[in-house]
Amino acid sequence: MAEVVFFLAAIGALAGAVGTVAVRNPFYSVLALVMHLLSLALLFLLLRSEFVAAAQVVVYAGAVMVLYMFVVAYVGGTSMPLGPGGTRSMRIGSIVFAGVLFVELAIAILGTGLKALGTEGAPYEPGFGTPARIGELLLTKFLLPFEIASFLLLIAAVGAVTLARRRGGLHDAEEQRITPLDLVRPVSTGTMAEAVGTRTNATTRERTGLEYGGHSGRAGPEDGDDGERTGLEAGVAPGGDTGPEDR
Amino acid sequence: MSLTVVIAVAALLFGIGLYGVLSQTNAVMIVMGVELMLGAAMLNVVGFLRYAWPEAVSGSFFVLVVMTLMALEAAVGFALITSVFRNRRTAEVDDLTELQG
Repeated sequence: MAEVVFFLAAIGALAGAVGTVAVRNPFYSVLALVMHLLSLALLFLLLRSEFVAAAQVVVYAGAVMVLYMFVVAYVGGTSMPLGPGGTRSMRIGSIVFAGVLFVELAIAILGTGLKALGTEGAPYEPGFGTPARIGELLLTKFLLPFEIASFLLLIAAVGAVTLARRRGGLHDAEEQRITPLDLVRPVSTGTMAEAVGTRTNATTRERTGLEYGGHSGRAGPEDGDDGERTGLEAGVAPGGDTGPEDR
Repeated sequence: MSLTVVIAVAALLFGIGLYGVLSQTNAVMIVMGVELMLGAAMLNVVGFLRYAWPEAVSGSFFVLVVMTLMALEAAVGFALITSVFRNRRTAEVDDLTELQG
């Protein structure tokens, strides 16, 4: 029974991996990767690593794949297809390279004395790889590496947010939504649009600094119209005008 | 179902992942290929842990560290890809040639 499930999971993992690299639609590619990771978790389960299998499902098939989906939806929204790219020679070269590596690994596997281990493997204790066992180890023997790993996760989270933060990179006119309400409303009213920077700070600076010489009061409709136009010009100008004070 | 079969599956997965990394030109797809390769390495470690040294439970911790690094690599890599895409409107690694000299 275990053999049957093992081979089914192995076939699922291999099929998922092939689908990940071969499918043209990037969304199907991510779904194939989810299937691959679930099958891999099943393989871990059959190899008596229950905690690793659970972590694989929760962390990978759950959390990281959502991240993948978001990034594919964000990056793949252009006219350029996201599927398997590259030239034909590049693809053939990759197949040759991967095939050579697999043959080399197969020779290495066949050349070792792994068969001496048999099909059952070494005897193991009943509680091998269960969450209780791993958790006990994490809090006693491997406490310091555990804490270091968590600190590393914190650093990576902060770094990812810092890297992916919007800082005046995409100067697109369509990014700046101007509603009719903006024409009659003064700038520094503390709206959420100002807080997240949808309305650029250049607009605020133009209107408060140059036209009013200080903090803006109530602006009339015709002044607002004028200010929005200058703000729009400042917004579409390519980078460089966004100094550190804009961040 | 022996260790040889497990390692053969892992080797196949690694080869597929290597093909993905080498043949794709989109940064997101390259990261997916790297994930496949790391998954194959994890399968290798788990297989050896089960069949060869089951008394060394600490091998599971090694797999967990690799899993953490996979998540970190995905997070930071996607942050970079997002940043590049926002500034350059492309995620194709062939278009990023500023450092080519």
